[in-house]
Amino acid sequence: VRLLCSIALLIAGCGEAASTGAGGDFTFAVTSDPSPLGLGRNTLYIEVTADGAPVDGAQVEVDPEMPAHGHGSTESPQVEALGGGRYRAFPVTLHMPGHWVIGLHATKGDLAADDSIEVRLR
Amino acid sequence: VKVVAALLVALAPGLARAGACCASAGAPGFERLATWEDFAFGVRSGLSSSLGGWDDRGRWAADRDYDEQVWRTEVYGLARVLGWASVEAHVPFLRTSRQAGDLSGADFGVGDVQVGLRAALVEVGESSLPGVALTLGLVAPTGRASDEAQTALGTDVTGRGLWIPSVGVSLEKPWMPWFARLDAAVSAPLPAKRGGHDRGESPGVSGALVLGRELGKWFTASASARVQWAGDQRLDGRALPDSAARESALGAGLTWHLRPGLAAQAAAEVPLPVDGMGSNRNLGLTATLGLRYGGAW
Repeated sequence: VRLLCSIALLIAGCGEAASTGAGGDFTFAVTSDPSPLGLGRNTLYIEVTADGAPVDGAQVEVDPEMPAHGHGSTESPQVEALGGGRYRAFPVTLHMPGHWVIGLHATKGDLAADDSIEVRLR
Repeated sequence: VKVVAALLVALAPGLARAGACCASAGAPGFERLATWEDFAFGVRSGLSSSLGGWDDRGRWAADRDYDEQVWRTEVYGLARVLGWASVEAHVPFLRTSRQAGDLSGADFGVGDVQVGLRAALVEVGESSLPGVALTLGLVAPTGRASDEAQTALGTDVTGRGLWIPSVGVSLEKPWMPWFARLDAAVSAPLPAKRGGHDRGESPGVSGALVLGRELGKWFTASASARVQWAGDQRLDGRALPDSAARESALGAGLTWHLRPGLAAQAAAEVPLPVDGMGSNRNLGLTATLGLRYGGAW
């Protein structure tokens, strides 16, 4: 099950997930499988746009962290381009309950953007 | 007092642990040398089963799609040095099993070794004053840290990956057959380069209050309350927001004096599953059994 949920919508519509509201030259729209994000391995689908136009060829990184535990995920998500400005990150492994911050970072040429999704899992 | 205690050991071994000097020495989890002991060593093994945790806002929630069992076995030893001080070392071994979502696994490994020094400024029971001791501790990152995990669930993680020195004080007052002990310590984890980042932690504070009572000749019972504040996590020199942590727990212990110097121990600890009693911590119900032997050279 996938729940289309942009970064902006995550704040109000996705329960325990929220965007930190960072920004840059791109806009991220994120969906997840499963949705909402849960314990274990997750997949993120990230749509990167600039002024509404899809951005292909960007270097996209996904970095889950548990700030209060001083560590990240046990696995590093691999990001592959799907075309049309869409990217797939797997595995986004959230291996224990608590407060997670999933950092999103995209660069293309001189352009860059950062954002993050906060998730509270139990 | 030491001569009298030694005579008691020789003449009436069954009374060796009795008396103001020694009542709390074998309290599970709060071991120290009794006045008549030159050394002690032991092993304890406990199983902790996750119950839930406090989020970063201090709200307690029970686990839903998560299960964690940590079996921790610790070998430890204490030895008297210079007459008024003792050194100690603790070597833990951990077996962690987890189930989170569609993942599950279990692993085993050596944890972070801890060494300590306890210097008695006022011996317990020597006067009407409470016993006072200064404590120094050091946790060495001998376990496997999170950024070195080889498993998806981090079940092979057995350590924090940081050197953690601490300094504290221990106050103890016996009113036989009762005793009370208050331990407090400040720790200051040292930053380390891990996973390509400078990671660290702001100083933290811990405290424990132990109340106990001798129950006749063979048993000592104790109850404890423990709190811990961990400072902000630091990444590349900056403190991460909402990353400080707190936890609190209540415990109970029973020491069975099997024979002179030899004691069996049982203990249980449970977190306080109430909003505001912790933050950013997961805790479980822990049951521990141990065996301790202390003697004189």
